[in-house]
Amino acid sequence: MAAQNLSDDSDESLMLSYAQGKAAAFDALYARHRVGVYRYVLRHCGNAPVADEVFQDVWTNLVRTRATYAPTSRFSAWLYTLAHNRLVDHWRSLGQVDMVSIDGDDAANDAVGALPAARADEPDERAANRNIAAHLHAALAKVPPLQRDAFLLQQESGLSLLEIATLTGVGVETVKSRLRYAVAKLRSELGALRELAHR
Amino acid sequence: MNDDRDLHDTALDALLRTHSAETPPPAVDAAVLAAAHRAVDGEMRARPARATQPWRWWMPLAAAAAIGVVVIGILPLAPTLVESTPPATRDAPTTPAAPPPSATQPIEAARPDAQGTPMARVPVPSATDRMSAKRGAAATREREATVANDSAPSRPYMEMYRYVPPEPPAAEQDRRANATGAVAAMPQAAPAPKAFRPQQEAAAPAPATQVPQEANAQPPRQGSAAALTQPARSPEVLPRTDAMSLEDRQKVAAAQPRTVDEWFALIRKLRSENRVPDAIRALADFRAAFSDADARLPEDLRDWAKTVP
Repeated sequence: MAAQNLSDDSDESLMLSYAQGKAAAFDALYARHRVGVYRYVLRHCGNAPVADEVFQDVWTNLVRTRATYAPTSRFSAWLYTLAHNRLVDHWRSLGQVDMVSIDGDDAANDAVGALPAARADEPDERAANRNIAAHLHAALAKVPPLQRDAFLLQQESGLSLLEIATLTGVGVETVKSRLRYAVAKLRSELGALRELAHR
Repeated sequence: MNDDRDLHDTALDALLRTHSAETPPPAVDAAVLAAAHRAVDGEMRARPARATQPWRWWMPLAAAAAIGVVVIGILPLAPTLVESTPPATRDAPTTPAAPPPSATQPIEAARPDAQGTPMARVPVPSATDRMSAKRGAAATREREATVANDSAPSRPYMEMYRYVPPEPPAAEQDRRANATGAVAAMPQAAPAPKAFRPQQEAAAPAPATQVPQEANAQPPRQGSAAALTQPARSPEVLPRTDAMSLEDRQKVAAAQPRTVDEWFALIRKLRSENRVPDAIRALADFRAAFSDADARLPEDLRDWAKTVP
């Protein structure tokens, strides 16, 4: 019954409950957002071990700063802000102050190789899916980092343009522009795959 | 609309959703959940200790509030308990040329009369007088405490202490009303008022029966009939001490015999009734009221008084 109540609660109330010491609220929050945050981080990093570390740091930061959480905005905006800032720190630690492209990075292949297949019934199907995922990842890697960041935030977090603009510290029109470029780039890179998805 | 189409590509979204199966490894999930639970558990363990912190800070606050309430509640009452006599001239220096205050000089002589005579200075007792007055007041307080606490002096003894003055004749009352501070014209043996009058009443022209100010504390002069017959005190002229409240002084004034003969009569009566403790107490009070009390005792009481320490 308690689990049912928690699943009905909003993200914000769950976070407040967790800040007040209710560990089960964190479990519910984590279950809701773990996949989206992980994909956001992984597609930026392109390296599964690094993504794991960054992902874990994001949630650790959330745990550490739980007392300062105020439901002035959506919880997901706060969560993805933590993730975005952690990624920026990660790139800064690598000497890459600006968001970098992962073009030509072998780590991309590592990340794709670590992905489970969408359907694990047939070896051929698994290989095909793995191939599509590799294409997706390569196409994303070719998108400039800021445009990719806006695109991934829109895809994974479900944030509005205004929330993305607030999170990244730019105007809404800038976010729109980045999204427009990112979508155009991915269309051109994944043209054949898009046709397959349409079918 | 074009903007929306440029910002969203349904085919691309479907492709990403279909082929996005990345999930965090179970080890990472376990580590994150363990860290989150650990943080909450540690906080819950630290919470009982933290719960005592408010107690630490609001205790002094509560104590200060309680003290404030007591002070605010009692201070307004304090002036009415302590300030019953005008203190203005108490500490004023006496005029060197003025004669020393007589034991028979009533305090009302210094007050303006009905015809608007300028207010004169109330005679200030000398240091010796004040010491004597304090000694008398201390003895009175001690006696009052004994009366209140000890079961030996019975209520009839207290009643016998109470003196009811005779009503002055009408002619004398008229003469008093017309008197303008003529202290000498006052009858020396006039009794003191029966009960204490408030300060406001005392400011009005006083009856000639007002008692001398320091008669109880100052030894009476030899040959002075007034000193012999008026040892009693009124509350207005009782020694003013911080520990003695107005009510105490009222009780003392009401409980004292006014004349030496009354003291003798009281002691004799108590002895004749075999109420020795009361008689001893009355003798002690008499001694407290008169410094030469033993010398004044008549023959029949003098021998007995020698046996009483």
